[in-house]
Amino acid sequence: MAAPNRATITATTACVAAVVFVVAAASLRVNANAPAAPAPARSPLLSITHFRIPDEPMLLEQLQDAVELRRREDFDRTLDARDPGELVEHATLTELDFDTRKIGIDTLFIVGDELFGYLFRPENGWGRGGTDRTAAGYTPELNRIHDGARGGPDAFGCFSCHFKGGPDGAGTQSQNAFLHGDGKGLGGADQRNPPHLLGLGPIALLAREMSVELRAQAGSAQERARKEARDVEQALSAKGVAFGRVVARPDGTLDTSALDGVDADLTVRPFGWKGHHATLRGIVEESLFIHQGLLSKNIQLAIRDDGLDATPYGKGKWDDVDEDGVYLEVDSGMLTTVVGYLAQLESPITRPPRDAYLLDLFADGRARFEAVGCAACHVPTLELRDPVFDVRENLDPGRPTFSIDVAQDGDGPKIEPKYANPKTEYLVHLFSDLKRHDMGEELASPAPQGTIAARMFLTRPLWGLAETAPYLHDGRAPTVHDAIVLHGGDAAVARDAYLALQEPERAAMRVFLSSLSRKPKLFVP
Amino acid sequence: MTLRRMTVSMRMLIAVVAMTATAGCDSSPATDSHASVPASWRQDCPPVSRPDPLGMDAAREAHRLAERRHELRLREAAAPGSFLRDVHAALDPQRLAAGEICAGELADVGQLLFEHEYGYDDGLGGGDPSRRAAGPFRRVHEGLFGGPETISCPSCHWIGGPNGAGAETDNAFLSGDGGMPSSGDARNPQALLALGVVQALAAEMTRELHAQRDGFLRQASDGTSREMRLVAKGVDFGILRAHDGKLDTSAVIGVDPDLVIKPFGWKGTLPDLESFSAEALQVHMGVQSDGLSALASGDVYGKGTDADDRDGDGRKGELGRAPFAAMSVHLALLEMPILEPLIQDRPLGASAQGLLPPTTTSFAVDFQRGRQHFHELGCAGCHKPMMVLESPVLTLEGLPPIDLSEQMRAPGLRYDSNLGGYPVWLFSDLKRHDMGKANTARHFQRGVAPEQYLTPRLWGVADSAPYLHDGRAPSFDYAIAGHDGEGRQARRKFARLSGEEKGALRVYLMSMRRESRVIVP
Repeated sequence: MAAPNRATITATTACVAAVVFVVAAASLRVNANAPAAPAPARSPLLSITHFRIPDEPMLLEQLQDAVELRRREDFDRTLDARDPGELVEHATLTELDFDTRKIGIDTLFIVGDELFGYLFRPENGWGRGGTDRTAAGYTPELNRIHDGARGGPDAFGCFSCHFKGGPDGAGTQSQNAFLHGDGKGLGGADQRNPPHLLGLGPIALLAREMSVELRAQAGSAQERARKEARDVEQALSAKGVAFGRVVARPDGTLDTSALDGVDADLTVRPFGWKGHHATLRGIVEESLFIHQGLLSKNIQLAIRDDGLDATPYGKGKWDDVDEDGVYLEVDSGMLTTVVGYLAQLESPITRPPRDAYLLDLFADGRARFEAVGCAACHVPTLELRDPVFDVRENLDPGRPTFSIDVAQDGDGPKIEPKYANPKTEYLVHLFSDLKRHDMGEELASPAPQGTIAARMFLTRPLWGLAETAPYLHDGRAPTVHDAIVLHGGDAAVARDAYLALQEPERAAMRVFLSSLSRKPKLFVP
Repeated sequence: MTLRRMTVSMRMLIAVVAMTATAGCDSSPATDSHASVPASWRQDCPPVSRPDPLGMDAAREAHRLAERRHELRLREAAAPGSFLRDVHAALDPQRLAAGEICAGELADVGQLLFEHEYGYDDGLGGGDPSRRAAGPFRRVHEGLFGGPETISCPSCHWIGGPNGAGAETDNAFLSGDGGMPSSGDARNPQALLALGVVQALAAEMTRELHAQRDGFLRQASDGTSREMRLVAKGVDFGILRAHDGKLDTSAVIGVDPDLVIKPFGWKGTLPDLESFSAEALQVHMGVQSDGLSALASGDVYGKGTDADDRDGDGRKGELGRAPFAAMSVHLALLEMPILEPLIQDRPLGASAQGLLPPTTTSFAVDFQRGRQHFHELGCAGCHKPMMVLESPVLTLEGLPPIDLSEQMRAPGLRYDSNLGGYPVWLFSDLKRHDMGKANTARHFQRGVAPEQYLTPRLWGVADSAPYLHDGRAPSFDYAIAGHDGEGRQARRKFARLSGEEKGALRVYLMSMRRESRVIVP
């Protein structure tokens, strides 16, 4: 599901909404005098003195968009009720559609939105076989605890776990997934709280640029090692984030044992709490499989052609490995569609308080966030050079790209240019270094995830934080304070520095963090 | 006689006694002085605002509420626990008891309490506070005590709009062993729609049954063996017998022997929304409201020795009487769904390049055919389309009577002079039925047999997928397929319908929906 005013990212909305907090404090004091709707008498608790409502033309536009979206969805859902299959049929784009560019970027968004809100059914390939699905009285069977890599399935739709704080938001505590379990009990399963999905396009691109930077540095070290016939030690950093060192050998090999926070292949993987996927396509494909039991064509073909171990997927023939009688579950075009949708979602914004007292705290908290050391990992801003995103993510070098501009296309607010200059960088206020860190024993997973150690987690981007309580990878922290206190490992020093603060200073930090939010938008559920 | 078998009035009496006993303990801001129930609300309360739900006023109000939510969250970040403290302070029990706070204001505060994300400072969770490194949550309930699984009500009530249903991922696992989901009973959160109306209907049915029973008892006092059919609002509840002046309820069906209609919970175990919310706050969040101990057993609220801190988390008086009343008013005044076929009488343009515009279509004809199938298949036998509410007046503890027809949110009750009351299209008989082997729970719940379920209200069903008590049905077809026991016959008949006929029935179900309303999530 998406907020309504897609593709209407006018300069006006953006300037009201996307607030660079440095400027915000000043500008919002002015905005506080904006017209307020008359409110009935309420107790002081409920009266807020300074608030801002979009002006009439903007409000009307928001409202029309929201109503229009609802009307379309009502229509589609009712039509699908009358003629089942209509909806998913309309929401299926093939790779051929992308090749020929028969569809527009806005179409991609709308269709992706439909898929995101769709509850997949057994006839779409949901779940796996084992029971007679044609029997009278057959109903799907959910499985809350994942059975190893096979997953649940524990959900019918994407939005079943991504709705908190608004469309495409985070999941609540009750929506935690229990990964890599024994299929039965909570014990031993690796809990994951669903993160919000905003700003994924810029993050995917940032990670790619960082990987390119790291590889270039390692490449030049290898070059020098060959030329000079000696070991060359090279410190690696990308966008100002240090990733340890490599040693290039004269024989062309690379010693990666001193790398820090990134895999040996020097690929920055920004998706998943532990940072285990480099591409949106990868995380989408995995999510559809472990949560909905939907098998992609790509996985089927890999089993047939590349000897991919079919164990997690099932025991059937390659074209219906999960033996549910559905041969085509997730077409390549469907993955591209969901990726194209996610990459176009809005970016979170900072919403500083309007109340003068809270605003002072906010400003103080912003400074303390740096002083305490949070910003060392939760790097406030990374700069993106190129906002062009190929929604096929180099799926097949032989096929044409299908590009979108993550600074323009789709839902607003968007990331902002650094300067009013066509050749400028874009500021991504994500509050992350996109690097893995040791979070200590207390937060460690029950087991390593693939090659990623139990204690290692990717720095969670904090943008949009206010809409995502409870916090941490398993949602164990009900409030921002609890989340800070539970930081360990590499973050223990910053945590202790926070705990050493007096209460008013701590409060300032919490107010600052709770201002990391998203743009309020009209929506008709 | 166990607590769970007592009547509502008895429990209320106990509540009052319990409260009186604790009055004077200073722990809770709102435990005292609720004894006097005001007779009426103040006269100058502003009328309930009912703007066009898709109009500009509603849009402005939606933004205003979002701004308020944000500011309250920031205040709470600055001073954890301040929101709940402020609410306790603002809802002065004296003023409440004197009827000085308007129902609208109470509902407003109640909504904030409903949306609030509870932290440790608010009493979230239970048990030793020093063991918080692993977090307070337990996804599978341990016995009746519950989880907690979450920090706020909207966490599990959001589908289809505010106060809505929960997703399959929000299922609670009741009465489990604290570790294995399969050890508990999966329950998908139901939409919280017009709970006041539901409670009022149930109370009228209970009164009807009790009047029949009382009359019957008078007749049977002569010692003769007699029997009588129990009927409330046209719903058959089996046969009441008497032998030797003693009542025999063994042939009563679909309701407990106390003949109290309990319309809340999948199993129909709770008679009023106060017991529902008190219990939900405890089992899902570990937030203990005053009076919880009167509504539930120690298995539910904890066995701590401190009467003000039964869950032993070090927080006393977590939710006082007055805030709790505010939450009840909020729930009581929630709107009713609508029954309206989708009429797409304005052409929609193509939504984007490469997509065809939707056909201008009306579903009115499918709606009519679908309604016919709904009756012919026998769905309407249990999912009784309409009941007439005679009096719109709802009584909540400690508050003046609430006239739902005036106070509830739109769409609300409308008087129909032909019916002599207020038609309520709820699509339920508020009666329990045997749903067969396919739906058998693991545990008895408050004495209700594992295969027994209350007919869920189908109003708003279009906006509450997935379906069935455990949310295992992603569409209407699977929901129908999941009907077993008394519902099996209708399921079989549905299976025999043609594709077109099934389509019409589904369109009819799609017309049971919530009125579209603009919000800022």
